[in-house]
Amino acid sequence: MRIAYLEDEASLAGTVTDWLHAAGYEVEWFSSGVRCAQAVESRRFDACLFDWLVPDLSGIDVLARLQIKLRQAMPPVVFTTGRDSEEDVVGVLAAGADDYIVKPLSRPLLLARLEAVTRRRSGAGAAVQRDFGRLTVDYGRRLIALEDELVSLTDRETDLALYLFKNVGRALSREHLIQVVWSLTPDIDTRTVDVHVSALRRKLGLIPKFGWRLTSIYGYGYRLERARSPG
Amino acid sequence: MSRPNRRARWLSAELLRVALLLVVIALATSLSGLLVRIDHLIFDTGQRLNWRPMPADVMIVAVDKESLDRFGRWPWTRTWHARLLSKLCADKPAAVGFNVAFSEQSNDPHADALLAEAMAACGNVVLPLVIEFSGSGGHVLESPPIRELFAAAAGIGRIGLRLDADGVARSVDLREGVGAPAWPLMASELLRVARKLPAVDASRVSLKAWPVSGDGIVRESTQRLFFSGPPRAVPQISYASAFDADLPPGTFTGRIVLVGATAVGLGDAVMTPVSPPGQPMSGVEVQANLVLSMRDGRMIDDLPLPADLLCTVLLAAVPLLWLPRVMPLPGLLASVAWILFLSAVCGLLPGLTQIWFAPSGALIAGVLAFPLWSWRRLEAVRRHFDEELRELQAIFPDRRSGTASLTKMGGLSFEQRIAWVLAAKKAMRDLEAQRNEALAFISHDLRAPLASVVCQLESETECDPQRLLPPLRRALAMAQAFLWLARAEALDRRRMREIELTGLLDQALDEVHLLAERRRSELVRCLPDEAVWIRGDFESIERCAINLLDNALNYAPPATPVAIGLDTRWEDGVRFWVENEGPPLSAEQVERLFQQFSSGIGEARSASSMGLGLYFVRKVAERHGGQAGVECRSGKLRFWVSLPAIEAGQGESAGVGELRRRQRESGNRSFLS
Repeated sequence: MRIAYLEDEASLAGTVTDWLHAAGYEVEWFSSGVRCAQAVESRRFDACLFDWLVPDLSGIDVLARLQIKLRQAMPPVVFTTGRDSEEDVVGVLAAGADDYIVKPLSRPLLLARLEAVTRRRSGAGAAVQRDFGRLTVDYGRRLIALEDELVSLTDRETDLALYLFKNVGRALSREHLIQVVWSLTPDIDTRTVDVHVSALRRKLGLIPKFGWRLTSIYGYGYRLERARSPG
Repeated sequence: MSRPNRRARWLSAELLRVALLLVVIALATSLSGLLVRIDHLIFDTGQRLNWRPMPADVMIVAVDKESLDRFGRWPWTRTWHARLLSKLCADKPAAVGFNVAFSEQSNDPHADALLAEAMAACGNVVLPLVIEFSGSGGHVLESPPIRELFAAAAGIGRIGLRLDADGVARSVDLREGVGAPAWPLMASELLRVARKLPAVDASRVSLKAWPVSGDGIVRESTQRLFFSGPPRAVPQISYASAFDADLPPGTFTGRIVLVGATAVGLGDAVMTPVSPPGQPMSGVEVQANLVLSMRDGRMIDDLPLPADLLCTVLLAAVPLLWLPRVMPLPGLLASVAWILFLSAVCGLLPGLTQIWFAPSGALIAGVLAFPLWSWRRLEAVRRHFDEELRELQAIFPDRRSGTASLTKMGGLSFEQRIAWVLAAKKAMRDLEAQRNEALAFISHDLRAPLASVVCQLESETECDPQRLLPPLRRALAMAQAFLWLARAEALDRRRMREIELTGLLDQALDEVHLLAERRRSELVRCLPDEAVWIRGDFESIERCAINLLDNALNYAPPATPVAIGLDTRWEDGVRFWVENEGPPLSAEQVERLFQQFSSGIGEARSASSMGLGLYFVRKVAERHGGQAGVECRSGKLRFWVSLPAIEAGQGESAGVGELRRRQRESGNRSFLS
């Protein structure tokens, strides 16, 4: 797995490169946005990790340039940013990034995010049935069981749950969820998504106690992820 | 659009509007003659200010009280007039005018013949013609002198004046007659006979063949008189003195002599611009003034209507030359000065240039310009004031007058608005005080952990990273807390969105899950299953809930439960709370709890316990138009945050439109970036 890493702060870049090497990734580090963009355009990378603020060409600009050049061949992009306000985060996601991490970076979180975005690209998660501890998800028959007992869900809730479980660890926008889950229902309200997500959290017990976190990303969307174990 | 631009645009639009209004008022006043009395006043005052030395070549032989005493009741026999005339003519006057209508035969035909003879002998006697309304049928009649006298007279002219609505004689018609303007004025006839007519007027008076039309009065060439002086200013000689021939020879030589009544109650006295109240001028003296006025070319023309209207329009707008540029007081003084100046110029103009412009329209515009402009300016100030107030209210939401007064701004009095601004000013001062406090805090408390780490790193001995981490974490958490606080201070209610509160609180629970496990505290969820919508800022409210949970977990005795709950009906909004076991707080502690840099209840010094945590909670609640507080009940502490309910009608609006808007926005963004 090759990762393009754009970061202008050398000491931080060294630490992160070490983490990634240790996790088995190949890392190429760039301190210049222009050179990073050129490299990603010419060679194949499996994922990009971009810092927002880089002197010559910001991560956002690199992302925009790559989107135009590479189109479908665009590798997934995770942003690291010191700015954690809603505006900034939603801005990054809306610009086309797959996910974001707020500095200071934490090693397990970084690896989890990278894993989530690369797993999707490699087409994993296509299994018919998956076991998530207490929960068993049967994609084929569209059933979800909690401790071996079927959970009664509405059609839309089922669609939403199956989609979330297929994309564990990924940031999913409300609009995207509406398109996927409510594709046949015109003029759906974003509030509907919130209501359904709340219902799933309650019915499936998607809380840290049972090893799950279902997080709302400000006004943008949701992410279902495994809770980090204590300690 | 930038402010100066907007201001310039406002200014020009307002200027145009006020100018139009003034012009309309001025024209309406001018055309309707509503304030014609003011015109008269100015004209009359101007006349009085313009007195000239009285020339001595016009004299009056006055039928005065003395003469009446001498000759008895008027009318007198025409024999005496004949005798007087003979005496006058012996002195060779330039012309003699009788301001006495000889339109009927006297009882003594012999006397008429004598008079006619005397007149013929003189050869320069002018007699009057009176145009009068006959008593019945409203017909107008020309009453010339009787035939013998008519034949003997050197000229016949009218002695009629034109009276304005206020009964004052200011103007004459140069030519007038029944059916055709055939008759000149007696004054101009006198001048013609005396060969003293100015060249200009000669053409006007030349007799033409007038087409006769109808039997009404036809007038031509109205002009205003110029009065040379007040009543009795024209040299007079009593009829009796002249008659008794005790005057030195040459008294009348070369002069124009007018004979007429001046005694009070006799003859045709009229009010004139120059007569003091209750002291009309005798008809013969008016005629004398008219003669002088015509001879000296001092008759006054009214400005022609188009020019008059044009002047009115232009002068009406003049105050707007300075009003937008100066402050109110200089504006007021300048307006007053303008009114006085305009009045003075218009009053003096007839005497100087023989032109009269009626200024009442322009004057009323000058009077109204200041209040009108001040009104517009006050309105603009009020609008600006309200706009600023709205912005201030958005920045400083206040529970007492928050949402209500936003919509009811119109009902506020100026004093209330000023009170609002004062409140905002106080808030600004408080903010500054807070900033200073914050600076003091940072320089002390934030510095401490960092200084300790630097100290450890600089020491010779190898230091343990595990010992460096806690102070660094503390400093980082504190910096983060400050960042949140800064964000809470900057929350703008206008930019808040609908958010779902139960999901938010669930998420806050998730966030503190690890801490709860460490403290072996059970988290009790008392949240409703249904969605609860409010308008707010997701991030800061979530941070509030986390802060409260964090505090509760830190201060509750280990292994005791911490509960979070939501009251969906609380006063006029909703309320969420976090409850833990703990000793009750004193009133003073509660008071200090939500202050900015109070150090909380216990001695533990994490970022949230630095007082920033609860202060942040209070700030966020206030910014949302809500409140934060604490209740102590049966060994439990319950910290709560109330938030206003979502306003009716807003719920629906955030549906499809909101979605479309966001899609559009995100679409634009990815396109642009």
